[in-house]
Amino acid sequence: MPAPEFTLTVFLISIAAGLIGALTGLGGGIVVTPALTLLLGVDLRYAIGASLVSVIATSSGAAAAYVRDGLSNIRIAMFLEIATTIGAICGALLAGRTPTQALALLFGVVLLHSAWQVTRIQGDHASTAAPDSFSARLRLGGVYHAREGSISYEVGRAKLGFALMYVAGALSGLLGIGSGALKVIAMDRIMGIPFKVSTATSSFMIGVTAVASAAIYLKRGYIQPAIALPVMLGVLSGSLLGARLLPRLPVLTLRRIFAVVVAVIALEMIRSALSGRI
Amino acid sequence: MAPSDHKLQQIISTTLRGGVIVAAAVGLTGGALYLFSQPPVPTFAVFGGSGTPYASPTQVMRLAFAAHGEGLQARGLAIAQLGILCLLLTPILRVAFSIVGFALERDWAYVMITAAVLLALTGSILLR
Repeated sequence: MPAPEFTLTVFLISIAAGLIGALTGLGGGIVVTPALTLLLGVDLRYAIGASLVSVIATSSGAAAAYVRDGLSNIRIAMFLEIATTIGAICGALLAGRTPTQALALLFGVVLLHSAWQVTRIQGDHASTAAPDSFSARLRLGGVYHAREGSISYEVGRAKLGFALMYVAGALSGLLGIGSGALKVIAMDRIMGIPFKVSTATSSFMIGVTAVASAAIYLKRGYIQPAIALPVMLGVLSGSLLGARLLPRLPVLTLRRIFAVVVAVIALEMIRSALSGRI
Repeated sequence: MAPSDHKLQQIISTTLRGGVIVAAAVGLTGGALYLFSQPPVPTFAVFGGSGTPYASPTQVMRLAFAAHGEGLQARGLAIAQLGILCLLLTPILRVAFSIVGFALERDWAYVMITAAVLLALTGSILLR
């Protein structure tokens, strides 16, 4: 494929990935990696590098709005980022010693779990957390503004949440994904933070988490501009478009459809990894 | 959350938005130059490893700005990579500005926490 056609194809695939990412809430990076490897035969490492760059772009873009509106909790994010950045560094170092085939297999499994997770997204709930002494000392609780007025919340089980964030960071560094789904689980289910605040804070944390492994990937030559740039611009456009369309679309139906699409992609990734085609 | 966090929120929000816009603008410029140079058919099926000049920020700067460079294609790709480097710098700046913000609020616990994050990021830049 000549260069202009290749660039355009990568760009269009990335727009689709960004759209799917925005509508499922998974982020575009996680779909773009299998798309590039399975459809265009791009080496997994170039795909991971490009995906990581796109993850930083979409997270920063979305978080800019969330932070301005006070929905992201900056303190919770800063505290948990100690765990995610160290995890991401460990993940990126481990990725260099892991065979590509094993990485592809793990990628498929994580993607399959994410697809399952998408179907289980529930609505917002009131904060149920009883603050532990640790969270209280760090003043992790906060207030956010919803249609019903200002809602204040507390944070519980901060240490367990912190440990799970290390795992989220390690997966992010290992596979070049945002690990948003796992971050939300840690905050929403473990620490009892309201779902809206959890997703907004996760989005805010993803950029810093991803950049910790991106610095290592850059030096290893994973970030190739001829791929990473059209992927970054495509996923960014797709997710901006998705966010615009979101209020006007039947989100629950779309989520179910795309969950199936993501599951099929995941199974195809696992099959390719097992048959040694990646 | 302390009411004075409001200013910090604005600084962070502006940093993030500005970083993405600069990265996209610089990247688009480089990408346009690259496509304009009629590059050969790309092959990314085989991984090239860390030997590429785009793995090193100093090499990227040299290829992007040297008066007598290595042709339009290399210059275009280097400028595209420069856009990506701007993007990578964005979250790091966000953390650095937050340290200043927490220090102005005299919230020393969070100055330490944020400094630890910045230390981890610096470590990742120095690691191989």
